[in-house]
Amino acid sequence: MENIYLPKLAEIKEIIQETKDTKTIRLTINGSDIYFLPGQFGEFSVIGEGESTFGFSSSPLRKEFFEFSFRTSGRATTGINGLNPGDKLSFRGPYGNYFDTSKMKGKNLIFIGGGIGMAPVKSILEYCFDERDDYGKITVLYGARTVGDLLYKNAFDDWRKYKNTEVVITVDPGGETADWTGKTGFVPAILEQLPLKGENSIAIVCGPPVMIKFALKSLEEKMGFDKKDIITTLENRMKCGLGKCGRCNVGSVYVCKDGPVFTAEELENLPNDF
Amino acid sequence: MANTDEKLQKIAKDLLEGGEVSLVIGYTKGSIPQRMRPVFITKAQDASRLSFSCYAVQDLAVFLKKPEVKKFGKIGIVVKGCDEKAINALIQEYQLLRDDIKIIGMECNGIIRQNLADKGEAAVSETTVYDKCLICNEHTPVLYDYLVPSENQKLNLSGNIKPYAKIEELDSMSAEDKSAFWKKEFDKCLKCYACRQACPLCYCSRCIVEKNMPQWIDTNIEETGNAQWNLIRAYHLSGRCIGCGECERACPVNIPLMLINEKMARDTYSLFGNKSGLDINAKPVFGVFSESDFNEFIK
Amino acid sequence: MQEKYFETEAENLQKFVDSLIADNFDVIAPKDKDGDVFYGKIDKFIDANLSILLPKVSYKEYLLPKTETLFEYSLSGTDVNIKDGLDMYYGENKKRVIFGGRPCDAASGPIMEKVFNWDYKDEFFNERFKNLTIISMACEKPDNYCFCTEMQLSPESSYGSDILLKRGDNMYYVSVLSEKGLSLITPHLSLFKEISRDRMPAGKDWKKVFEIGKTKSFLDKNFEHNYFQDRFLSCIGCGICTYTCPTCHCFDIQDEGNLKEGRRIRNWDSCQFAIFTLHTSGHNPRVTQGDRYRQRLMHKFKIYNEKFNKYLCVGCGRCSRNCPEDIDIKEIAGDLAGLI
Repeated sequence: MENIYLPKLAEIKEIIQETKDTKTIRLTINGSDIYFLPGQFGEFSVIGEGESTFGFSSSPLRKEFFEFSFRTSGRATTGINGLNPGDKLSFRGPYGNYFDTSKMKGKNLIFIGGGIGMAPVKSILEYCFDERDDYGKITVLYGARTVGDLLYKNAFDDWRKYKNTEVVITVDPGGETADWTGKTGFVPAILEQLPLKGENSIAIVCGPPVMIKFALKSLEEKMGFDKKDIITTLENRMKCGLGKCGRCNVGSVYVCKDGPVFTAEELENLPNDF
Repeated sequence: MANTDEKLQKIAKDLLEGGEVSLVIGYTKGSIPQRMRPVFITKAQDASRLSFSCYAVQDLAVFLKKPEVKKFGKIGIVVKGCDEKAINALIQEYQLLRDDIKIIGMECNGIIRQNLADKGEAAVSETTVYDKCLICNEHTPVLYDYLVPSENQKLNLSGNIKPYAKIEELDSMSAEDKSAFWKKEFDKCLKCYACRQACPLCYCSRCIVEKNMPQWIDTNIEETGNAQWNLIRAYHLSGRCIGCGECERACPVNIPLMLINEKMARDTYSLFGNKSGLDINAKPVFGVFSESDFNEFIK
Repeated sequence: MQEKYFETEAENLQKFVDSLIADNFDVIAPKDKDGDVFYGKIDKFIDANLSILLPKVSYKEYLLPKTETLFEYSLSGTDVNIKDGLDMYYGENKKRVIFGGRPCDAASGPIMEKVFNWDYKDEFFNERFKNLTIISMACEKPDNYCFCTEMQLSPESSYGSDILLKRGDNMYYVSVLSEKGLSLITPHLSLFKEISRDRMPAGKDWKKVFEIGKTKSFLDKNFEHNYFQDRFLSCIGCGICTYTCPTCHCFDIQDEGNLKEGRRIRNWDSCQFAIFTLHTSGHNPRVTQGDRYRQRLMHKFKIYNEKFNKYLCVGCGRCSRNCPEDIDIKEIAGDLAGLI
């Protein structure tokens, strides 16, 4: 009989300081990757300091590790922040549903991320890069409050190397530095400047609630995206990840099992309780 | 009774009509004839729903800490003498402005214990009311803007019933026996925090039990977590508790929390001559420095 | 299993329960304590109080303890040793009998079993449930707060009970409803006389005050409704409703210990607390107590039904009886049914 709350122990391979208060941690279990799909999440923890929920930020097709990104803000993340390569981390997962890539095949893809919300976007984005020929044009729009708040800076140039791909990075007005060469403006505003059409396209949007709200509006109203073709993730507070503890309950869904990935159409049918 | 209710309703109606308050918190008839419940009146025509009786157990001052209620601005509130002391303590502790509240004081001759009332008890007597009623010196609230006199008889005290009698019994026990007594009581605790929520003076926006850096109180609902929770809460109320007894009434597992609160109140009085909630201009007893303090370390 | 029916004299029932205790079963029954009645372990039959309607708190803790150790850990260097909490439970592995509870309480087990077993199986719950045998006592006089009949049960319903007793004249009618129930009485058959079904007393026709389906219809269509914000101004967010409820099962997971050793536990938690849904960012989807009580209603009367085809409520009325502010869920469910 299995204890579903029992964690596995993952070993830290590498830690990347992304911004002042965010890091990406690359892990292996028994020296290898685990099986998961983009959009899914796990429960990560320094044993003794409590678990935290994070989505995976790496492509599952890159087998040498799996990774997640986190911001240090509470007890559990302070614990994780204190770890070094070689240390062990308790891990449960993968949990939840995932981005349905079968629906994305052959389509133009627009990936929109805000702040640390880029983490799950990076997972599906790099997954699509790994099977680049399966998809049409790829556009990446990533924004953060300031230049210093951008995660994955080292990956931007890699992303740009893929064919038929445009990568747009923006920071909120006032967040630029003297040598900033990217865009300046809020994500939804920059989005509207991009030559995108809803036709034969899928948009994936993750970020703070206010960004999602306005990005969805732009996509639907200005660019003609169908609600079914806009996909986002919900970031509810979770504990068990297994559909038991009741915390992530919104409308008739348990976000940890029925989500965290939802289409804008599904989101519209949920009550305003997230 | 009808007369009392009419007077009460008239006061509330005038307050709302005159725009002096935008909300009156009072009592209305509850789910069964022996229960009353809080009611929130915002329209003058609804003032007729207000009522008062020996079943008006709740301390309505608890609502003054609720953000949804604070939004109403100027509030009228129906209080018994015990509950009114909570308002005074809130004013003392800068949680409430005297000008923002209209106090409708109810003269009260005792409240029937809810578990007895639920079984049909209807007579107010020294054997049916709460212990707090037996030691009450504020049958008429110490502070009010309006007073509704009672038409009921004064509570007759024979002197044969000793309120909070268990306190003397506990005082005479050895430390080990006392500890065993409370261990058994706290063992029942569910950590539902109803004691905190029902307390008009537990108003912290983030309770110590919700803080985990560091984790002051063990989260478990077992011996350590329960004892830490109940003891820390007791200390946070020492010198402040006004004795309304709502924590004990709310407790779903009947932990005799008032033994702790009353004991602390007695100690505070004997050591510092202070009783909580009697004077809005007084300073909280543990919030002031006094050269006459008996403790050496303070000088 | 084919149901079996028996009669037993009142004194034989006493002998039966006392033999169970002698056979080393933990027998949990309504028991006088602190001026009220709570479920607790009895040492002999006469310690049980069978004259009251319902104990103040449900017996949920025998299925989902207030605190459960999920695992223990010890750390040395980068090595982590983990001791499975399930193995620790097997060590305890206590067979329990709930005696003299009511049909509403009995229904809570099979209802909660659903959420603990969709996809991921929670063996902590399952093991406890498996080791619990429920001997219920049919109700004769529900009170003002009872609404099991509205919740698709009745004061005499057998759902969730292994054995159901109905009081007769100094005797009891006994329905044995499950293998678990049968194996419990089989060693003591001399105390029971088997009778045919037609000798059992007929059930009463219990009247409903409202239709729960209508309550659900209202909730389906009215997430935003003034009723919630207005009605629950009087809610102080104490969580008693959830903690004394037989079916509320939300929990928290916490680590407790130091850098050397400790444990991961799950503790009862409540949707009535503001912190329950508070995000790290400071965002809270449920701002007011109205939002939070609405969630309790939604979970009980809508969400659980849509997910698991059962209402997450047995109509025991504990939340109403125990509410310090006299919020009556039966009245509310009825109000909502009437608003549609």
